[in-house]
Amino acid sequence: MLLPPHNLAEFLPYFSGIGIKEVIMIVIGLFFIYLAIRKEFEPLLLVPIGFGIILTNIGGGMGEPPYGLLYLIRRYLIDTEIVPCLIFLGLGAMTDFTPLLARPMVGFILGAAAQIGIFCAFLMALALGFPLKQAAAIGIIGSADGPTTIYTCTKLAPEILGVVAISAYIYMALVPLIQPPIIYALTTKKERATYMPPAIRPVSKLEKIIFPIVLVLIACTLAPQSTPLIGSFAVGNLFKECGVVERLAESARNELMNVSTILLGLGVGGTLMAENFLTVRSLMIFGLGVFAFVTATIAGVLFGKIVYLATGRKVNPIIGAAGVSAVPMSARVCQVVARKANPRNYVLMHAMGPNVAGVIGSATAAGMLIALLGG
Amino acid sequence: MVDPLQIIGISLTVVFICLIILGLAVTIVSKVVMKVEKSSGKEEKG
Repeated sequence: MLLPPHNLAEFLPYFSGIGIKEVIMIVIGLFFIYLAIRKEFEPLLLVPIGFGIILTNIGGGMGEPPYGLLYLIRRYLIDTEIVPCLIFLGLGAMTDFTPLLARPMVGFILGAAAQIGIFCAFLMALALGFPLKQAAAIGIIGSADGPTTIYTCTKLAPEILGVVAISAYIYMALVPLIQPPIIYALTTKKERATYMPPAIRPVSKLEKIIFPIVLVLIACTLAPQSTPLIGSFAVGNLFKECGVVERLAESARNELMNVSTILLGLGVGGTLMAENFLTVRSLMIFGLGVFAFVTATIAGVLFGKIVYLATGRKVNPIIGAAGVSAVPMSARVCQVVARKANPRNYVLMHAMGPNVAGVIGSATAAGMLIALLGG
Repeated sequence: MVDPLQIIGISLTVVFICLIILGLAVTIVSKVVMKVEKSSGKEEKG
């Protein structure tokens, strides 16, 4: 005989098979939507992710195999690398490499330095008891690059994809809060006030066309596992710069990017079911995410100081923080901090160099982790 | 069992080498392109 429910926990399953944990997840999904709409935290991803969380936890099996829609998106579009690579193609079609090409050595060195944060977080995750592949997937949060994070996590530790992705996107939105205290702590006012002339070297169209080709030839030779990301990035950029396929470039940075973003968000949100999100390990991953961003910023700024000294105090060390590839937020943070120290300063274009180099650095680091850990 | 420190060492080395080589390659390409454009500019004027 069916007895009437005595409390909420017993009441809910009569409607759609959801329990208290699923209700909590739905509230979390609503919270992400609130963050996205009200606070404008990475709205392009957090709105679909938040809604994906609601859809997968409200019952109806949208996130479950074999026929759940969100499961199918994840299985056939994300796990197969298709969507992250298409997003990278779109990013390439949106990225202007002029600041990097104007001063390549400074940009690339600082872009590489910030990737140290990935490995600091990797070590810390190992120390906290995460297995090797999960630790690497957590460490890649320090890349501050959503598609790279999702790509790497899908290859190495798909079981924690949802938490890692959420962590990455939330902290990317929090870069303006995370980075300035670190920059202030590691630099003196004199260093922050280092004046860099606003104008950068003019870069010819031919250089911009050759660059994506050189990028693929070098980066994909040295780190072949990064080819899907870097190759996609390069082809998108070539579409943009060659000038003869403008409609492809337009589609790549608009329609393709938008469709891919929708699918990525819903697919990732669809993985966030109660049983794999409401755990202590998820909280630890959130904590490690902020650790990854902090150590990446520290490494970038410290290398910025080295470059500052090596160039005879001509390069503002703040721009090292822009090696954290949250494009263009990190560069804007550098600009704000530099202006506060010296109102004449305009370092935004100089900071964009390491900022976009960081995207390449993080994709290379991801490729190496996948290659070494057998993803 | 793979040594994590080895993974970090190899990965960071490759990242730095890759980006430094990219930086050098871009510097060389830029210089060559500027030279070519300058000389073709001079030829047009001549």
